[in-house]
This record gives sequence, C-alpha cells and structure tokens, in this order.
Amino acid sequence: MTLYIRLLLAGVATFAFYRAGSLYGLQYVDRQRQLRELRSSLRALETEVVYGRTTLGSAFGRLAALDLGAGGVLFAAMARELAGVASAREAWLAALEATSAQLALNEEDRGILASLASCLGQSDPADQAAHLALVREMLDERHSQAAEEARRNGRLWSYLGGLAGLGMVLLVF
Amino acid sequence: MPTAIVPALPELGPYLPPRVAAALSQVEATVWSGVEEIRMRVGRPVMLGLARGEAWLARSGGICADGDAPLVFTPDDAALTLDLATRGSVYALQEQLSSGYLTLPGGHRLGMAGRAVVDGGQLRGLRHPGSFCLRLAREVKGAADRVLPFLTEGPDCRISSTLLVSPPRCGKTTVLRDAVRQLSDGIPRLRVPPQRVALIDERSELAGCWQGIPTRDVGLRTDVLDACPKALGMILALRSMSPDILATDEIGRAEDVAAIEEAANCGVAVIATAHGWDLADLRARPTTAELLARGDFARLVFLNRVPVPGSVAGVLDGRTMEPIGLPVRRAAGGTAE
Repeated sequence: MTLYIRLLLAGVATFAFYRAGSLYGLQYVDRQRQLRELRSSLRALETEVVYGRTTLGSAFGRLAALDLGAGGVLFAAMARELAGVASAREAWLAALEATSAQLALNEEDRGILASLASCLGQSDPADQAAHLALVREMLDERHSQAAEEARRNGRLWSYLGGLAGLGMVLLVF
Repeated sequence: MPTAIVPALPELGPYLPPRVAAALSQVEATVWSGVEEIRMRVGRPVMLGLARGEAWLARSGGICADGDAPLVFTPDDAALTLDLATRGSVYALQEQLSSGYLTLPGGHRLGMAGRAVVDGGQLRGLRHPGSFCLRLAREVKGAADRVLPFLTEGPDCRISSTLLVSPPRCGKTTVLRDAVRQLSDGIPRLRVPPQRVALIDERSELAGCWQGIPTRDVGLRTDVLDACPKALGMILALRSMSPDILATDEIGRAEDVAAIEEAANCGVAVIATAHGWDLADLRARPTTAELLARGDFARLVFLNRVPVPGSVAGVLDGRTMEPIGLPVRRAAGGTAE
C-alpha cells in the first residue's frame, strides 16, 4: 500500500515539474504569437494612416477597440498617452514602457518598435507606409526566430521540468 | 452692440508648446482680449500681435516689462508646435500643410514658414518650419448689424448678392460669419425671414469646423462645406443643398467668377468677401472687374477698421455704382489676413 502511495506521489511530482517546465516554455510561444499580432496590427495602422488619413489619436483609438491581441494592448496605451497631450514620439515610447510587463517581448523586439517613435506621424503617407513596412519586416524576421526558439525551447523546458521532477523523486525516495 | 467672444487660452493651449502656453496663461485678461495673433520665430522672442501694436512674452510669464527676459522660441518648441498642431499626424494634414497653414479647432489658423518641400514644381509641404503665426479667430456677435440693412432689397426684403470689400485685418471674415448667422436665424427687425445658407468654408475659418461640425455659431439653417475649394463648393451646394444664400470668403480666382455666375443664374444670392481698398482697386483686378461689369453683386460694402474692425466705410449699388447711405472712403488700416 505504502509503495503505491509513494509511486503515486512520485508520478504527481514528476508531472508537476513537467507542467511547470511547459508553462515556462510557453513564454516563447506567447512571444511568437504577440510578434505576429503586432505585425498585423501595424498593417491595420498603415491602412488607417495611408488610406484613411485618420489622425493618430483617432486611428489608435479605433484600432484599440478591435481584437488585435498584443497590438490592441499597445494601441490602447498609445491612445491614452496621446489623449494626455503628449507628442507622438513621447506617447509611443511611454506606451511601450507602460505595456512592457503585459507583453512577452524582449529588449530587441521593443527596440524595433521604439524605432517608430522618431517618425510616427511625422511625414507624408508614402513615407509613413515605408517606415511601417520596414518595422513590419523586422518584426517578421524576429517572428521567424521566435518560432524557432519556441519550437526548441518550449520542448526543452518541458523535458527539463520532467527531468527535474524525476531527479527530485529519486533524491527523496 | 457687438459682443466679442474671445477665444479662451485652454482652447489654444493643447496646440502650443507648454512653456509658451504657461507664459500666455499669465497674460492679463485686458491684454488677452486685444490679442489678434501670436508670432513664434525660432531664436526670437514670442510676440503677441495686438489690436494696437505688439508685445513680447516674458520668460517668467505674462507680457515683457522693462528688465524682463523675453521668452525665446527654440527649435525644440518649433518641432513640438508642429507635432501638437498636427496631433502627431502630418500625413493626415498634408494638403493643408502644402498651403502653408493649418486650421485648428475653433477656426484659429496656424500659418508657418520653413524649408519648402517641392516635388515636380508643386509645393508638397514644409520641413523644419521655423516661423509660426497663430491668428486667433474671433466670433463677434452683432458684427454685421451695421451691414445687414444694406443687404435687403424691395418690399419683400429679398437678400441682395453682396460683396464685402476691405484690406486685410478689417474684419471681413468676422462680419461675414455674423451675417451668415443672423440671416440663417432670421432678422425680425429687418423683416428678413430665416434663410437656408450654404457656407463654403475653404480655409475652415468661418465655421471653425472640427471633424465636419461647426465650432462657431453660424446659424440654425446653415450647411457648411468645410475645406472645400470655393468654386467647386458653390456648384456642389447649388446642386445638393438648394440654398437661398451662398456665402464664401475671399473670392478672386477665375473659377470663382464662373461659380458666382452660375449661382446668379439659379436666383441664389451670394454673399462673399474680397480683398480691396476701394472701387478702383477692385476694377484693377481682372476677376473682380469682371464680376462688377456683369453686375453680379447688387451691393458692394466697403469695410475698414476705424473706429473698430468691421466698420462700414461705404456702400455702393453694384449696378449703378452709386453710393447708398454713406460716401465711400478709402479704407484704413490692415496688414495681413
């Protein structure tokens, strides 16, 4: 009977560690998904800017109301900052800062988005489209890397969790 | 008695660099009521254009007195002014910017000068603007009281096509806005019933439209075609809004003449403004000379700024060129409008 209980506890502990590892590995998947959402959101922003000629405040407000995932989070923060009479540059940087905890992006991803601050809204539609396309392209590259990392590290962290669980079971029992 | 509605600083503050807005907030109300424009030039003090003379803003706020350091406008202020005035959206206002000005909510006009961006011989916009001139739009209810009695004809008080003429800064726009408001609402004292007015506001100065909605009182029965080229707008309004009166500011192009002729053929009265000192000045310009020769305007009302902007200097019958009421004097005052 005691053996069965011990085996059961060992199984539970191993699974718990495996699950913890998997959850930790999920951040890589989140990053990949958020980069994809941001890329699509920037495409939507480009449509507002180039074709709608909507001012940034209205464009971000309108897009924030759509289900754009990570882009929606960032755009909602941007709309709030712009309403506070900040310049577009300040507002974009402040919005990135304000959402850093909510998004699974790393420093380099944020750096790419921050590069928009100096040009966002500051030129004619063709120039804006070019800047947004460049950032989208850079995010696309980051997305490919993130997908590879998610595939590799996601599985790695699950295995590491499972192994850690097994190791602990062997030490304890 | 005309009542001037002075724009409050909070209306302008969001479009000015914070330190300029802060200094302006300390300008005394008596001085502020006379401010016609705010001039900001990089490397030079911020200047207020007053009804009489001008004044500098002090770095510590308010107007510069003896010994006060003036508030000098910096390149950062200039960049911020453009950013705030365009709400960070230069691309959305590209067409207006290529005309060298932006119209802010309330009809205030921010003129700018800087490095021109020219493409294919066309001005596409301005880069690094270094000079700004913020002209404050003022609503003066009753400004047209002295003009309106000259606008009616016949026992049924029909509205005559009228050209308001003056040099810059003599109140043409203010008088036209108030005339539109009163005609739209009806003027019982002159037995003028309410009129349907189509207002073609090419530079958004008359109705001060913000996102298509007038921010100035232009009357209950006024339809505003905002930011629309005058000639195009007049034809469009004639076809779509069936107005009794067409009103527009600063005519002078050949296509305006054709549109006014079209309106006259449709029996619609046109109330418009034009730059000019006197009749000879109007006759010297081909477009206005053609309008006068055809007799499209039944009344020519000359305005000046003595004793106040919008004062009637004289009225002529547009067909006979005979004075009505007052003799026509050469208008006084004015520098830029």
